[in-house]
Amino acid sequence: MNETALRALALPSLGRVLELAPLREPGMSDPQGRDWRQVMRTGDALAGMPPLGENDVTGFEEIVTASTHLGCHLDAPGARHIAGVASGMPYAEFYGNDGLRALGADALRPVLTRGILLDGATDVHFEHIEPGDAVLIRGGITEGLAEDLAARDAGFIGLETAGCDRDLPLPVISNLLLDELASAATGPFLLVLTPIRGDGSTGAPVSPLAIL
Amino acid sequence: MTAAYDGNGDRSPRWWPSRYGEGDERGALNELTAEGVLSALRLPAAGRIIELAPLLERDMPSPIGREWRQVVLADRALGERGSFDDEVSAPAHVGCHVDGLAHLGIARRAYNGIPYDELATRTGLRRLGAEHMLPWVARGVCLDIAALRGSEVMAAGDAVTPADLDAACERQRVEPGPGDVVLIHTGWMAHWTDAATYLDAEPGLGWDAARWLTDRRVSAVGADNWAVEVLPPEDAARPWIVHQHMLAETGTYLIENVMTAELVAGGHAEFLFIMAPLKGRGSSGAMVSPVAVV
Repeated sequence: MNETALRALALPSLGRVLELAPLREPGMSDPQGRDWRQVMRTGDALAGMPPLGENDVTGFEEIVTASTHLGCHLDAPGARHIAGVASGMPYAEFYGNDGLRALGADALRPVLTRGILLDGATDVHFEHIEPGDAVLIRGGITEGLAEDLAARDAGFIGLETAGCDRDLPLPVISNLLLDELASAATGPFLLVLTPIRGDGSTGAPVSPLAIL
Repeated sequence: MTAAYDGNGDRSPRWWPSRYGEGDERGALNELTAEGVLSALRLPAAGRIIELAPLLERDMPSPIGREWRQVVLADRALGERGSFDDEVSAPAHVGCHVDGLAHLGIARRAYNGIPYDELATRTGLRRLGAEHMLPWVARGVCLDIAALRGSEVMAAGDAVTPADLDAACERQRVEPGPGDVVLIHTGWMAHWTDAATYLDAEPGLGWDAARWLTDRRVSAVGADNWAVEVLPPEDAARPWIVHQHMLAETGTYLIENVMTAELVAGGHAEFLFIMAPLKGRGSSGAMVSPVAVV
């Protein structure tokens, strides 16, 4: 019995599903200059593949190149290191050029939990934070907030930005779109994370959902 | 039905506009409603999450030259503190993914009759791209067709028929309805670690079974194989005909490489299905990591 998920599933009353990830497209915002590139690759890109069979089947597909850290994503356990050590493991033991040999995105799991929106982080009632909550922060994150949330055993911190200039004590969901949620949510909601997991990837792109 | 594609490509009677209206770009996602979301959220009894997407791997089975590749970047990794990054290159159509409505068409027309000369650029689709998709929070139904054959794994080329779907519904006491996501269990993913066998052919939906499903106005159909439809096709002269009916004619999304074994093993015929596409502008499909919640 997953009590955290069951409690979260009981929260929605409107049946309204909000997407919190920005659309992936060329030139999307990224402070480190990462980009999303797509090339149509089927036959002549403009005409698609030549008609096939008596049913004249035609079609398109593309190749996309991007970092797993572009847009909304979760970091893999090995994404960050201090002095060459990540999650207690030295660099040489987990780094691989075509994928991390340990601490990769394969360790990430889908999450259904309660979501809380903190708007401006000015009026925080920490007694309302429950273990496992995903706390989404609209506006900047204030000094000490993450530590206070970690002390309440919150599960995730969500940010509108690509990251934070310091290491945070909780897993971070970055690059969230929170304006629509702020105008629509009147209380806690169901937050869903279903990361796209690659073998040995250093992060996992995700399209988080808030269900009201 | 306002459309009637007969499987003859350019010679078919006109099969557009879509039943969701001229100009529509969402297809069967129009079947999802707020009431449907709320009733699906009430289905789970245990809150247990079952992952339906396999891990993306370099050597996983990927047809027609598709490949998932990554390079891990470590240029800042050896300083006092830092982070790794990576670069992944892949079609949306590897691993578990949802086919968009322009992925396959009929004689250079995509869903809703949109002609190809209005559709594409070299860097993406101008219409029907993944930006038009919505997340799925819906009732899921898993139909165990392998069980009807008395087998763990159906044979390559074994076409699922309407009689199979009726029998599975009766046996599992479930009935798909509008907006539902129907997952077909063939057992074929037992070959996932043997790419040559997995890709060479597969059991899957036949033409009549596809129409059985779209008559019920389901929003998406997935299967534990790489094409949802049976391969080789029932009529060798008509490849990808189920894709044509599903994507182009009826706007019904296809979800490929879905791990259904745990659903079947647990007897989960009905469940909450959640799928949040990784949406790229102008993409013909989207990577997904769907879950069933029971």
